[in-house]
Amino acid sequence: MAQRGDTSKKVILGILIIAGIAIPFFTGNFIIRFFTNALMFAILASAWNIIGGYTGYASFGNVVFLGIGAYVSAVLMEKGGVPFWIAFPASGLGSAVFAVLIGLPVLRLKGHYFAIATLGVAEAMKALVDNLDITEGNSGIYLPVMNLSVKAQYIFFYFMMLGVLALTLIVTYVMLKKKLGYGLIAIREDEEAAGSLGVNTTLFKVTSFALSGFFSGLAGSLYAYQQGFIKPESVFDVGVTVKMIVMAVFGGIGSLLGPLLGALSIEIISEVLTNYFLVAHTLFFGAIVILAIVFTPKGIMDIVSGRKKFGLNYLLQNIRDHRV
Amino acid sequence: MKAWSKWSKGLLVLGIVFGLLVGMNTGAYAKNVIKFGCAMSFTGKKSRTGKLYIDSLKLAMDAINKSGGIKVGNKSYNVEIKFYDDKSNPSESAKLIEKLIVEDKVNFLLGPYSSGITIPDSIVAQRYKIPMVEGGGASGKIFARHNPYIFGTLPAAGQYFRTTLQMLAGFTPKPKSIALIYGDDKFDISVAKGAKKIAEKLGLKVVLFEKISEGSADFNTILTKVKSLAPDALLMAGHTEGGINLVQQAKELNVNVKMISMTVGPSEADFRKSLGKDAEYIFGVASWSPQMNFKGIIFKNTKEFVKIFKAKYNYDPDYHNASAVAELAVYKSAIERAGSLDPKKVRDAIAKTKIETIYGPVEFNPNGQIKGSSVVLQIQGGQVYQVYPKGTKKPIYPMPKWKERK
Repeated sequence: MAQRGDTSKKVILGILIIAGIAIPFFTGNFIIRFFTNALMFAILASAWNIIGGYTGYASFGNVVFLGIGAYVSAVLMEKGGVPFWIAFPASGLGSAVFAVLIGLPVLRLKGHYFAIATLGVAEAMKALVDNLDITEGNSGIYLPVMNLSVKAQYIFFYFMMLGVLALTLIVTYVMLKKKLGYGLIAIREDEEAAGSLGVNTTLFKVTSFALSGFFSGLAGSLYAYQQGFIKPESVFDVGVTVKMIVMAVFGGIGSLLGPLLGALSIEIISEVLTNYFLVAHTLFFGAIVILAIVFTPKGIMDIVSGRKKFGLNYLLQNIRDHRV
Repeated sequence: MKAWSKWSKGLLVLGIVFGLLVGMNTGAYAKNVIKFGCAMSFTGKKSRTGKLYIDSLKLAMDAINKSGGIKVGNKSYNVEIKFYDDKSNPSESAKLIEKLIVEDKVNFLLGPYSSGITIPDSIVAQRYKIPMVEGGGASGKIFARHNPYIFGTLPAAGQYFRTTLQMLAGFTPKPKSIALIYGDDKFDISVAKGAKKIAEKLGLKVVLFEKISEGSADFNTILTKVKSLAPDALLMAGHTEGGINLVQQAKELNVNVKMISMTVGPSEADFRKSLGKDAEYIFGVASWSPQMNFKGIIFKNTKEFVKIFKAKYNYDPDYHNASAVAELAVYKSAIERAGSLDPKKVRDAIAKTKIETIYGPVEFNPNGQIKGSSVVLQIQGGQVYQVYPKGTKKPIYPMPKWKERK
């Protein structure tokens, strides 16, 4: 059984990799930009999965890392004249350092308290950036424009996003095979037991939060450079956190490829609905998410990995297993 | 069989992805149509105001099409607007502008609502060298980068008090000094900073430049300062509530200046109701109000536009609505003058725009923002009248002292 799941995982992965590399060469600028955006959400959802899925700490403020990443790049490039190649890793590191500083006190909280604290951190950061002079306050800040043809710019951003996503997934994959990964899962299952077995829970949790922050920060940097202009209101938007959580859940929490599949399918569904229903799309979209959570709470990954046979029985079994 | 089923699942996923991608492409192209693209907030935080633009753009589009469309050379073109919902989100909006240009192949772009969304959109427009005329973003930031493809029909916040100060400087004897107070809000700060610059250029001394802390209802300290500095005019950039408090306390403390003017408040019915007779002679500014009367090129004049608008949508249009009509008026005039649908030629024609619209005269600064056209209002006899430049009534200056009023 396990073997069967593994093979189809490989097949999906293979298809995704080939499609991922081929897409920009066969499509127009809009599709490239669309997928660049979808990849960004795949990074955010996968990064959230490290702290929310594997460690079991549902962060409701992960957007703060996107925002910090975006602003570190904007301020360094615009005010400091720093080239992108330095601003980009600095953004990831900036978010990671912030995650460590904030994580030390906040990761002592559990459950709802942690969720609310992280939510507060993101809102506080927004208020701070709103009022700082160096970030040009709530009127927003420009970034330098890249000196390349339109198509070349979009291909550049696409592959950078794809690269960051690949890095996120590879690091997560390697982490899962190491002591760190097992430690995090142990913390998720029973933190006290993990602690008593010699897992340095604080160190592990903070590392997990910092990794989550690092990848989100890199995504933020790319986002800001592509948009060319950012505002606190949009890069610290709590709606983005909600979106990455919904994507992770939709695809399958605590699985490597789940958040990626969730992000891609949610972005595509949302795009198609928006295209056909100018206003009612929010209604249909909400309905789809509710149905998905009710019938397939373990996400798409649970279906495609083929551990269980997909059919009416699968759906009914899910309802029986997860009813409140 | 087993292997096949593994592959089939993968293929199924791939199939769904590509099926949906094909579904994303829409394309119907009719001849003799000028296609405009607009990503507007149909849903989300900005949708309330977004709707004002949508209603107005549709009304103006119908009016153009009914009256023979837009003439390019000898041919008449109908106007078609492709709308998308940007969900009040700047990244969504920029993506949709991309879609409008690349997939829908629109000829020209109409702006979204709010400055924060307009800027990323304008960057996309610039990349593709397609002009965008927007009526929903007033921030100077939009035009700070000298993007040649963006034109805005809302005057800059910093220009709000320009007409007021020009009027003030024209009075005899010429006023010497003013006091400027402003709310703790980015918009109000820009208004005040801009007003300070203009006042100094006009030779008016700014004797007081002070921020009012947010939510404060107590103006005693500020008014005491005003009393001792005795400026000729007191200008306030703030909200209606604060304006009401300021006037009440100025009366109580018997602070007499020759003119009190505020950004918002005087044009609102609530302001006049709360203050009653004390609202008399207070000045206000507005970029547009339905009372004004300008000749238009899509609608005959402002009055007719207001009448048609109210008949169709059953609410009073405000400056957002009028600004949206101006967007299409600018395009109609520019395309007809350019005699072509070439984006570059139309852009150049837009830059040279000098037209009358129901929104007022439209002319752009070299940076693309409209030349400030806010008008001065004054409350006289319980009604708001436009008093400068050109108005239904003459401004009453200086305003009578509190003790001398009946």
